[in-house]
Amino acid sequence: MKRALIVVEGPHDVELVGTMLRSLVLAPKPKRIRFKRDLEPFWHPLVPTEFPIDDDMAARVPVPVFFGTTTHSVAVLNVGGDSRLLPALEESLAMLAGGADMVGIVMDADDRQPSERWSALVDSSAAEDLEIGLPRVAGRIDTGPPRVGGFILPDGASEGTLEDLMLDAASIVYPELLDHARAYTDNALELAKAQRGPLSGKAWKQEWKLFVDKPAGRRKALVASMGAVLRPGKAIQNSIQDNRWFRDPEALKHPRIAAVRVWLADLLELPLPAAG
Amino acid sequence: MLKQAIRRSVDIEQSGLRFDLTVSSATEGDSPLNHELEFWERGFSPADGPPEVNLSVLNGFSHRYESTLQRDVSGAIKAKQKESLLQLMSHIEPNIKDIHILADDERGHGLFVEYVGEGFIPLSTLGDGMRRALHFASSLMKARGGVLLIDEIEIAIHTSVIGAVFDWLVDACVEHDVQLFATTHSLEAVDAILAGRRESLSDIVAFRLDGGRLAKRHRGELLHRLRFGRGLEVRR
Repeated sequence: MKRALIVVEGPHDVELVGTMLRSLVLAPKPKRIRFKRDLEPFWHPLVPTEFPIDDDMAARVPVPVFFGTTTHSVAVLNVGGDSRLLPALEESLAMLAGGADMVGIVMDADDRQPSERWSALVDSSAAEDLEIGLPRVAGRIDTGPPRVGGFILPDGASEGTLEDLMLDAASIVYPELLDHARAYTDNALELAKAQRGPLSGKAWKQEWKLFVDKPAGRRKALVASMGAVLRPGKAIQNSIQDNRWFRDPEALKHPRIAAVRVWLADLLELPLPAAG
Repeated sequence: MLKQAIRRSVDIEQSGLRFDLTVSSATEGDSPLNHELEFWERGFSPADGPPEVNLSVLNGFSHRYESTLQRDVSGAIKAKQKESLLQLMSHIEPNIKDIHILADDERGHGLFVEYVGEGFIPLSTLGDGMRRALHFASSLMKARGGVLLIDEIEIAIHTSVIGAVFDWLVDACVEHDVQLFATTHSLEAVDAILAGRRESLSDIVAFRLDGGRLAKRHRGELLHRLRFGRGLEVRR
């Protein structure tokens, strides 16, 4: 049994990895493990036993999502932001007896070049007490043991986020819905600009700033508006999990989406997925 | 085996600041010895063994033996550290005026705690917590400049005060130059200790058994995150 620990920035990234896992050459397809009694004891140390965390009843309980198949057991941990990637990795490795066979980090490039983002992470890892070293180049896998690698979304080479990958997928899987969503958000942008007068500065900022001022905000709104139709009343991660964004064979062939798959297959020492 | 080997066959020639050390095995045919030697400030003499270190060891029940407590209190008195001992105890119980070893009709002699306004109370009638605190304090006096080992630090200490007691103990160790090693099975103790030392987590290092044979070292800050940031069960 190969055991892989992958730390990611947020809940959407968890579902990206989970969906990608299902597209790899694994038989049977990995199942999400819901009950602790079904989880192999190796991972038990990563399951919290306390509530509330640090006395905060509103804080999310930081438990990984576990996927299992006959050959691989994968824990994907949402760390709640890029500043927590290395600390959460250090904590998790400290708790695992003997360590994991594979360790992965998935993060957004945001508005920086991936190489720059990764270098900054590697440099800051020197200050942490990690049990492992990070490869100097993102996208590559150090064979260790353990196997260690990082992937910078959207594609390891460009600035951007997971939402860029979702828009790539949408252009293939939901092209008409994407057009409607663009029209919707473009209209909303005009509405936002028109609101500058009627609303006070503070009120306007509270309602519109993230959407208007940040390109990433508009991409998130675009994805969210499609997700709201595909999975009404549910969060985007549910849509990623249930809908065809990263399940459609044609979408998986998109070069940027394929890059994630190839990296994940390499990390897990699996054959490269066939096209589609 | 190494000590015996060294004692049997060591030649040391000392001339000023230089000496040559030759070590050979006690048993003919043994493979060559391969060992790192440390040279201590006070000098190294294989015949004498390593330098002495003040050492106090407390297990989970040693505080219940009054003979042990009497011995340690007597030791503190002989070392002219009684005032320090009383000062330590006053942080735990401000009304303690003095501690005496007095004749006792039933037991011959015993430890008595003199409380302000209440007279002499036999230690044997006080709670386990007080005996444990006195044992901590008197052992610490014995370990000045050395090492204090406490097994199951939470024993006889209520969870509601373990943090305060640990703080008291750590501050006393700093004052008297004592390195403290403590073991515990109690998550309440771990949490209380971490919460109490939140501003100085770098003072704490934890060793956790990993699979029964290896010990993983965690600095205090990491342990704090494991417990309060992740809510993880850190015991094995």
